[in-house]
Amino acid sequence: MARTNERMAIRIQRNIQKQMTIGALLFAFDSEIKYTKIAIECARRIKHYLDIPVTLVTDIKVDTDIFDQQVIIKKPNDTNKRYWHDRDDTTKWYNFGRNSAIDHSPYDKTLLVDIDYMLNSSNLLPLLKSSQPFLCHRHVQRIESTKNEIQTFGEKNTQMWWATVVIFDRSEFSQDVFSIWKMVEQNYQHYANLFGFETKQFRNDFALSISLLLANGNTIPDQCDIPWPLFNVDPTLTVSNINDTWWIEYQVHNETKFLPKKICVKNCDLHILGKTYLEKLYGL
Amino acid sequence: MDTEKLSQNIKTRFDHQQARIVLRETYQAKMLFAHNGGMWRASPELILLCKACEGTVVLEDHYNTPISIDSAELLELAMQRWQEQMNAWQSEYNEISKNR
Repeated sequence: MARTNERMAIRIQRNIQKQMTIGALLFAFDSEIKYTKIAIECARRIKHYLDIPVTLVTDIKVDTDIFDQQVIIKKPNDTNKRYWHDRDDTTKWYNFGRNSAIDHSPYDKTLLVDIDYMLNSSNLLPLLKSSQPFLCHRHVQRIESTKNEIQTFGEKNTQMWWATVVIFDRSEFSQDVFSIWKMVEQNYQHYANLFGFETKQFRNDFALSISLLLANGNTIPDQCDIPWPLFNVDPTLTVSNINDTWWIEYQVHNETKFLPKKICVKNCDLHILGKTYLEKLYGL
Repeated sequence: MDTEKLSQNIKTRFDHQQARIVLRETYQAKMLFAHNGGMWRASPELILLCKACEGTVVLEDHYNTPISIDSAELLELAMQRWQEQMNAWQSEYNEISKNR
């Protein structure tokens, strides 16, 4: 009887080892904006809606137990300066080195999200359970717009995939995408010349789009699309959150004047581009 | 709250049309589910296809990958997901219709 139990225990242990680990990875480096504080709220939402572990990649350990792991790395040397409409100022923005996500992730299947992506649903869960090696958004929709679209960049109107939400495994294809992403970042001027875009700011969206195209043999990788649009909330809109319902106010142009309108959104994940709103909402 | 801000708040109308568009997109996403390594969208088409099949069949998933599945098993999952999400959609639709 004891031997049977022992064998069963070994079998269960083997099955656990075989099970794929799934988790989320966030990058946050503080500047004038307390990105690590927003990351805490982002992690809380990931845990609440997806019930998966969260790892933070940062430069100084954050005093919280919300993260299952913290990977401490050197703050990227290069920064972007970005003007935020809601702050009426430019702030530093550390978005280099995102291509090292595959090296820092402790999981077999990883959800890499920007910290301003506010989860309000478990919609991403089936994608984490699917066998697709690499997924991200190509279709995007402004929350006040009636249609979704595929944005393009550069003189050649190259289709753009968004680096806001990326799901990847450890397959050869994913490894290739991240290797090329790194190569594009290191030779950004060269690729800017090839694709005809400006280099004022480093855009992970551009680098990811180029790497997906190259990794897929210079053809459009339709198999990498998250099958619904990324809902963007522009910094010019007014956002508030009441009992986990997002209220968004905007203006619609009607022949001669602008009409103030509002909608409420819940159960739908939102990419909130106005960091000031997030800071205010969570009392940072 | 100052009078101007109060007046602005009163003037701000709830955009029912836009809210319904966002709601529809939200529930289209909720119709997706993973099964047997494939990605499926619960829809009347998938339900009818599963009903027309018997036993183990190969069906094309959302990402155009042929996947071998048990038609009865997939039918049950698709039906369950579809009904759950349609009910939730209707409930939320009715809720937002009350907004002014």
